[in-house]
Amino acid sequence: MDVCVIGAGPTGLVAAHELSRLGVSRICVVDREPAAGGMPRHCPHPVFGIVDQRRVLRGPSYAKRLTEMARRSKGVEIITETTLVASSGFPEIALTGPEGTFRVCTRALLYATGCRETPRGARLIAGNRPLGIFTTESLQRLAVGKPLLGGRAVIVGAETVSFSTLRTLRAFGAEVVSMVTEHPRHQTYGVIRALAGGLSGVRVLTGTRVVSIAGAQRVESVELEGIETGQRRVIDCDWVVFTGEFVPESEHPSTAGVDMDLGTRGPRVDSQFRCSKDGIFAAGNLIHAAEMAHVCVGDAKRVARAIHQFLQSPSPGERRRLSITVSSPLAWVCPNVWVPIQSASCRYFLLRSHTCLGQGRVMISQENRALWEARLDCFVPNRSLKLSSGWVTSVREDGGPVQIDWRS
Amino acid sequence: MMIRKARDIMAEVFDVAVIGAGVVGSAIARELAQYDLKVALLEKRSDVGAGTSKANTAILHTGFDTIPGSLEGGLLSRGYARMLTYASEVGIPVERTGAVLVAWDEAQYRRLSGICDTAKRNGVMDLEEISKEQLYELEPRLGVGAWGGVRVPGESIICPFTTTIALATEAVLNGVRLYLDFPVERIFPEGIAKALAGPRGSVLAKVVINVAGLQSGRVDSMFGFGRFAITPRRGELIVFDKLSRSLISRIILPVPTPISKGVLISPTIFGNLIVGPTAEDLAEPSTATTAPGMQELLKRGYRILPALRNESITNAYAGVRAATEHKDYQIHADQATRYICVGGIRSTGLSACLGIAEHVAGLLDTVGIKLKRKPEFRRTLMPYLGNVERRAFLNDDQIRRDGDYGRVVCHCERVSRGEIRDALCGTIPARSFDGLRRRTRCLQGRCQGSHCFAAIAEMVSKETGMPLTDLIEGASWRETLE
Repeated sequence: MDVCVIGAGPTGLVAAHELSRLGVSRICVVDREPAAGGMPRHCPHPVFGIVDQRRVLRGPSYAKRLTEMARRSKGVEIITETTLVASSGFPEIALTGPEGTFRVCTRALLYATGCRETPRGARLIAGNRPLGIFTTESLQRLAVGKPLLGGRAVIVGAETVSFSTLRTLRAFGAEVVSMVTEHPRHQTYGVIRALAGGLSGVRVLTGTRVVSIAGAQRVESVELEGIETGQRRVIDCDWVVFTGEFVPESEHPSTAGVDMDLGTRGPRVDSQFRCSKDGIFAAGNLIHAAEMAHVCVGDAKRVARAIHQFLQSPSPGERRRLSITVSSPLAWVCPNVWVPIQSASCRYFLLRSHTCLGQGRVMISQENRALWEARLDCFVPNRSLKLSSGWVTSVREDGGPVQIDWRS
Repeated sequence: MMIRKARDIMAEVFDVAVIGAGVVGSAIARELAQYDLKVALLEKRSDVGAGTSKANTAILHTGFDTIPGSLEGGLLSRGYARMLTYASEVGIPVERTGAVLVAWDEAQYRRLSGICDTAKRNGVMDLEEISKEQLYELEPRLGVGAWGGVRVPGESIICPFTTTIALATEAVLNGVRLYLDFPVERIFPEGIAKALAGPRGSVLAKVVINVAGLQSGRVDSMFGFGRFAITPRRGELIVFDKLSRSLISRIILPVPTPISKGVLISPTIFGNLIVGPTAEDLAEPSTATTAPGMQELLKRGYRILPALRNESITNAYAGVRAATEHKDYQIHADQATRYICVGGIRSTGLSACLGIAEHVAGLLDTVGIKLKRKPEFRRTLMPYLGNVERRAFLNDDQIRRDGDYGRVVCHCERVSRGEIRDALCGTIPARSFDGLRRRTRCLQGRCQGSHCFAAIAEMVSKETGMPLTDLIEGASWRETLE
């Protein structure tokens, strides 16, 4: 194999298609699901393809479209129902599937494994463990094609995806009684909140955390607490859907021994999507959980070019990699590694914060030497802001790590 | 081999009825199944091992710290040895990680030599006191400030779910009648036997063995004894992601002082790390986790292993153990009532169960039962849930026979369609999602069913014929899946 891509979601599929276009010949895309297409397969709402396909598509159609594009690309083989067993032996990759275990030797490896939402268990929410507790993903996978009967639902989270959950729950006859977020405001865009809210808008309870869930066999109620007031209330409900707080599916890069970023919790990558080991790349929501599909598609096109370049000249010589780190209240930056490169081939950086931030400035420095300063307002958790890359040429290759701070 | 429901009220009288199909009750039933006896195993929940047996620290204790000369000490020692053999015979995953007790202050440090002495008196001869330097060499990621420790090489980790199911399966395979969803609320004499009655019907037995765990005090009172009161003691535990497994090699144990018992950090046989347990006495049993409980565990966990701060948490759970006012097991055989009480097993049931079972078999003579060994005893082999290398998804022979073993459904825990299918129609099949979790590991991984719940629910719906909506309601699955 020339390239082995782990994950046939939008990132993996578009990267494969792009690699084929660039003349790379032996590309295999592996996915552990029964069908290719990734997360969009389960997202019923018509919010896909607007930027990258110039069409308004529902998730499943978008997934099919990208799958077809990749499948028809010369030199691309898509293998589904196949699980990556280990990639720590790179260039040898161990896999398994319905035909048994097998190994593949590949010159380049691209991790495009995407992300997942943080479920109840990982959030350490107290209480019992009854049925009726979902994430957007498990709910939408369950709901595909099958109407579910009513009940009352509480949605935890007010990110863009949470409003998709709202629509899904309503489409299947449930009454959304509450939407709860710990943050002081919702984290989507006004227009989405308005559209999803619909005629019978749901009140978003801000500054509110979930204390516990009660219920024997099935969820019976949820206890909420106002963070400022300490006031508690119990809401009777049948569904509790935990939404957003995406984290990368980074088990495999981690066990393969590539450097991991404590901020993104995904593999550390430079603007060419290269990991800390030669020949290994990572792109898509694995490195920035979670952006919309068109951002991942943008990654895919760029990483394909980077992989193609690597295949042409596999030993680029000493590659100086400097860390780019952020300090609180910033949460992460992606890419998070600086390499000597022309700024023209460097896209923007994505920045996230832990909390809602008002007006402020982002300051980029290297060993206390200021490189760049820009105004970046209205940080909202779980939603990225773009940071331009004009400053990358000012970084001194022989200097220390690059630091990004935020001041109000 | 069918699991009987209360509907099938038998006119027959069982020789022995065992109340409680937790790990100890199942071990006793299995022990008795080796003899020519009619045995009934009664369980109030819908599955075996669904009480304390499914929510504990999953440690196979050597018994180094029991009270020397106590019944618990003797049975635990015997149970530990028998379990190592049993586990390798039936495929229960066990790993001899060993443990280190860590002293974090002078008071704890001064107790270490006493612990070694007690261990010797308990027949555990290989404990070794180690210096601070040696401790950090063994476990370099421990927080600063340890004074020293003790090595306990024999302390092991085990799968509690497989253990109970293996025991109960062998019991059933050898003729024990398993009654699930069968709470016992009244006991009254009925001819030469006793009737054990509840909302689902009644069972007649000459001899009754009370292994009812959290309810054992109540059952003891039903027989007119009431020798102990059960205090439900809740223990919460936090499960860290498998990626944190490599932070420690051994079980990290606290040094108990009169003030506090401390919490342990242990690898699990499934590759995670657990921190816990808390110890909270309750009025009524509850397996709900609590915010203060979990916060306390995090605080203590970070102190013992600071690197945990950067690790991901998978889940938290709580189990309830049966504490009594006594310091030892409450195992009594009464000739007149032909009743054996196996209560107050505290927190060592999993480790001691095979020792207890052997001991109880020896008490049957007291209550007028003669043991005649059966010529044959059927064994079982359990699906292996431990080390990834031995699981079905990597087993080419298995996959070649049936491609479903290569189709992974629960990705986080690498559980194949074939294994889930098997769990839905085993000797004691899964009858709930929790039952399925315990038999296969599905839904137990870092995504907690986010990726796989829908696919699994669909499989269950197809196998049981139950509509998806009923399944999510929490309705009990079909009684037998034959």
